[in-house]
Amino acid sequence: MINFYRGTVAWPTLARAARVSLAALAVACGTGHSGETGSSGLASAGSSASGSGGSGASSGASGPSGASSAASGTSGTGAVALPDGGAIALPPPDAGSTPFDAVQANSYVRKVKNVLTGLAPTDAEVAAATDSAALAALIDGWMASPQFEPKMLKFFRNVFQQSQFSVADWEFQLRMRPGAFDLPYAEYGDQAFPLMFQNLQEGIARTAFNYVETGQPFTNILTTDTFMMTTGLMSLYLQVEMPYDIHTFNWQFNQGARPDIADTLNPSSPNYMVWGYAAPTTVSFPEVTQQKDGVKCEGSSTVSTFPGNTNLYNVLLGVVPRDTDGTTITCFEHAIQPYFTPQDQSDWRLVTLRPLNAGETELLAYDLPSIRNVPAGGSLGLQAQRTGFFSSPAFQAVWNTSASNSHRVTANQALLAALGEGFTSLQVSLPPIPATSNGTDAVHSVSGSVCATCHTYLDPMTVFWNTLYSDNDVPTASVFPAKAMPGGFSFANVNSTGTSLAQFGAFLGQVTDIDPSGQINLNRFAFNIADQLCFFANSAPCGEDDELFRQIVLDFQNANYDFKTLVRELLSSPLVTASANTQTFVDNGGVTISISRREQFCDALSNRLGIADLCNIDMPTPDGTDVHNTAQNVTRLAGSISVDEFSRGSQIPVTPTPPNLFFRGAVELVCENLATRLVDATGGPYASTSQATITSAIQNMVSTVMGYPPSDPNYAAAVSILQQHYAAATAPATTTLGAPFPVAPATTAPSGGGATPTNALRSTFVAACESPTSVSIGL
Amino acid sequence: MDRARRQFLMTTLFGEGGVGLRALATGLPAWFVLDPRTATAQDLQCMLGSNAQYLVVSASSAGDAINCNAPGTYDPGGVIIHPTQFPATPVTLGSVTANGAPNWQSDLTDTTRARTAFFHHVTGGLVHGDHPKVMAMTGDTANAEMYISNFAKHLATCLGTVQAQPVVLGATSSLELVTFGGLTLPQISPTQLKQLLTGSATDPLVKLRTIRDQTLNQLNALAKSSGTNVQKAFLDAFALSQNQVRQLSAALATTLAAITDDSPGSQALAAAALVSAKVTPVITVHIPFSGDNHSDSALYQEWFQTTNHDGSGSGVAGIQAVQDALASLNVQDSATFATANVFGRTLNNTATVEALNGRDHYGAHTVTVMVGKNVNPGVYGGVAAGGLAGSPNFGATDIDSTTGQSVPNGTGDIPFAQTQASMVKTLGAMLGIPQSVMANDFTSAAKGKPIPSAVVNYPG
Repeated sequence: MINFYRGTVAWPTLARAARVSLAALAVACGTGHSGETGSSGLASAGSSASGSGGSGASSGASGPSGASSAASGTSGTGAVALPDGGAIALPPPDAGSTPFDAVQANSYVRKVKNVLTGLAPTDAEVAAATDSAALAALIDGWMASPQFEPKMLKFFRNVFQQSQFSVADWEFQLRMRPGAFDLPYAEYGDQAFPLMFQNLQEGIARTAFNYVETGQPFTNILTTDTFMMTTGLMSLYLQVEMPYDIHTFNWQFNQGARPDIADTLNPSSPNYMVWGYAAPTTVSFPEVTQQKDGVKCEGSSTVSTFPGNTNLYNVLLGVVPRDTDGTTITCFEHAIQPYFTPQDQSDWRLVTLRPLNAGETELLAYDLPSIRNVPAGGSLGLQAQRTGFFSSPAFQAVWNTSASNSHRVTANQALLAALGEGFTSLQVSLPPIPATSNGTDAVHSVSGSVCATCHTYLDPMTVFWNTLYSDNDVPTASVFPAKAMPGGFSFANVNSTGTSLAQFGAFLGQVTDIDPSGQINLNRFAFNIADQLCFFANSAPCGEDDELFRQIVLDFQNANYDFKTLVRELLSSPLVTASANTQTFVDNGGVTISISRREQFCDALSNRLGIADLCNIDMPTPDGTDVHNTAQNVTRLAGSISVDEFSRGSQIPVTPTPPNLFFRGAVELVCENLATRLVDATGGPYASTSQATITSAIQNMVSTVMGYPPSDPNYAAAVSILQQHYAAATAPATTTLGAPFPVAPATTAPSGGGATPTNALRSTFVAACESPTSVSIGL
Repeated sequence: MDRARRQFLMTTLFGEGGVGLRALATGLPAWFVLDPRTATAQDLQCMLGSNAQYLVVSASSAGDAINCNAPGTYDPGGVIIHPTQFPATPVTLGSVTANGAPNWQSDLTDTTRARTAFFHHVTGGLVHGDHPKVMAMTGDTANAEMYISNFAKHLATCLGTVQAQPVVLGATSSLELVTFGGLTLPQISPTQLKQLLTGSATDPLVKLRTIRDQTLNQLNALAKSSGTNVQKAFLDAFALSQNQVRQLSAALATTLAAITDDSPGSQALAAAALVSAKVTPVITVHIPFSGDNHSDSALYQEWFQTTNHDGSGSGVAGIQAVQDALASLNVQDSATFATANVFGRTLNNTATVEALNGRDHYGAHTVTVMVGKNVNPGVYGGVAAGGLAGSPNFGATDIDSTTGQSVPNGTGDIPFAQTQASMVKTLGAMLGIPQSVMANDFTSAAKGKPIPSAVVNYPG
């Protein structure tokens, strides 16, 4: 049972008065932290068709909101009820710069289901969504669908800033040329290299999703040392800690055969440190291989010798370097079958990353059999301290540091990602001077200079990293002696010192929202995660002063940071459904309707048509797409569609919303490309072989691709429009099309398309694919 | 939570959410839609004279070292650190000569230099993330609009462009985002632009586009029939984009065929094509001049990029490439070029820079390079010890608004802290925008005066 920080006074008054510390709230209001998941938040009030006012308290599935008009489709005024009989008054429709117009159920069900699963709504779902409690129950079902996890993984990898890195960003952690990721000519065999990038992007995201699945507090992501890992990912974490041995360690490569890896790793074997060739199934850039027609050694009896573990890591990833004595090339570099198997890069399990025990020898990055043996629930000894989302190799690659920067960016980005706040030039109210000045850059932090403020606060925070990691983000023990502890954390209401990244994470979790009068209210991490979810659903923030939003954040907090509670309450609320006006819309100047950005657009098509990764974008392309590879055409085309991004030094995600001509052009090209794969193609869902299959295809395009279920008021008309298109496309080119071609406003009547049934149905698919409801969120 | 951030959030990226869309849908300027009560009939008309210019901006969130070697930074004599390859070299700017790095003389044509100015000013940027804020003059523009977007609003009607929103062509970082009317604009590369606007005439699905456009019009109308006001506005914008993409495809086909990569040279071609086709009043590109060169042994990277050593189109040659591309389409007199850096880089007095091992962020000085028909060539403002840094570090000085000259003793009528606002107002005048038209673009805090003498045909 969730309790609310509310008494008997009027809500607007209490909203301000209640912004005191949580502990005080618990005493004053008799509230506790229930920790229950799946319990209700707020419920509908007013004239809801289903009379759901009290359902939230008893159903175990309701969220807030449900404005009175949500089901009836009237003007969207009303209030959100609290279980004790109170209510949050919602702004009237005429509040704000734009008159508010309530969104209907068929529209917001389409939006919410798309956001959570990419799928189109069904008749049953639209009929069931009679109020916010019913919508909350639907949301519970969608969160249990298999499509929910991949959607959330993409959300989390952006929220925790684990995704926007390139090969160049790894030159520090994995050494500069030759580095572990410096694959010659970007050539590699099979998929181990892109899968490694995918693993790196998803490690923290999967850890976060584990909390979603198990109901653990989402705040654990700030302090945990247990992460979802694959064998490949563990190997990478170990590779970061491998010594610089380019002059002291040699290994051999048998160009003709691959010894069993057990022999390769056995000091007693004649094949000790002899790695070897196995043919890859695919090659990343085939034309590069073809051009290097000099000395080919694949399959020969040549045994080449190479230096250093970084070159060896190339072999694990699927390429063997060039064999040369400096003047003569014995063997050109070439792709091989990676040592990492697909299983190595998909065997996700929870592993605790712990300090090495006394006398313990660290596993070698290439000792794959031993790494494979690390069990679920097991542990891996490391030199580096890995705690929270902010010390992952991926985070440190995205925000790689330098001798000059000295982890200031790392610390500031950790603040921004966790709290939605950091040090920027716009900051006007500063926290107390940190309890320690350790790490402060005396050159730049001269009192009175423009640089002093940032250095005063950020430099003590950098100690948390600088003590543990070098400027290349490898453990200091292998490079430099440790620097002076403790680190200092002074931000908002927290001013303390600590000696570990775990403490830094704990400090993040203690930061609370402070209102202008200086009182403390909501957990800032909870607030930020909720706001990030607003961006995910709305492409816009929720208002920080919106009492409905604040209540949802508090419910999330009181539910022991159960993420599903947050999703259920927020996405069933008017803040996302726009079934009633909210203060957020008043503040934002209206409801935001957005283009469906790349992942949203492609996920929706893939999930609705049941063909995984239609846009071919799920697999990272570490070295870009191959311009000669026609199979990657759609990848390049999809690359032109705007994406969700995060930025350095900014708390606001980049979520382009307008449907400008460039978005329009990109979507059209992607849809045209996909049409050839989906219509009259092997494995495709649509066929033009008979009138029956054409009719069925068009009906499916309307209900599945466009998201109008048969009961939708627009369904029949949409089917008719697509049928007309098919007829016009197949009409002889000499035919002048009559009504409804052209539609108003009248223009020159086009001729028939003269297309084959296949091309006509493909064009019909393109029309559905690029139709308004297919390429937007919120229609 | 401090109130400033909250206010910033509400008033910047999404504070006026939907305004741009509504403007697109209605055809009215965004600021009119935002507050029709204060808009006047004049707002809906072209208020500029015949001098309205397109703007091509080289924006950089890296904070390049343009400020370290541009004309005006050699004259203090021996204090400011330059790469050894950059001895003081006379740079002829029309009738004015000032010392600068040799490439400013060698890599720009006489014609270009005769319309080139170097404006020394502050930005106040501290970190790369400040780039969007610096583009909004760190709080000194109304509604936190970026100044280039304000320019775009004024220019669009007069230039008759397809859209008022800038096109972001060469962004190398998501930080180089551009907002317009509160909305983040998509970023697009030259090769993407080419791909999006060209299609095979023999492709059967391309051939059916005309018929499909009619179908999409019907589907739009259907969706509107049951939509809310906001949904209808979005659908109008969606339909508009459909028409625009068709028109642009026909207009740019020939020019875009020459684009083969995303280099600054290709960005220049794409920018010129967008100007030629009257797509947008403002285009952003990215011409590297050093990057974020904290660690730069012997200032090699700074020299390498400034001199276009690899022929990639970086540095001074990249600016000339923009001029050449504009000239190739005969629009060199229609567009003004400018740089926009989040900050400059340290000029002296740090261990690394004194050792020629790199430069740090420096919001106390940057240089905006301006090239265009309405640019009176020369150096405006300058550098001296003191200024924002309050230390022996060299920084931007005060400026005399009449002469445009640097006033190192701190008595100029444009205090150094107001020099960014002065630069923006002067650049606006170079684009043909009178100060009276720009007046509502700024908050009362933006006090810097324009420099009329920097502008040919000053519009008042």
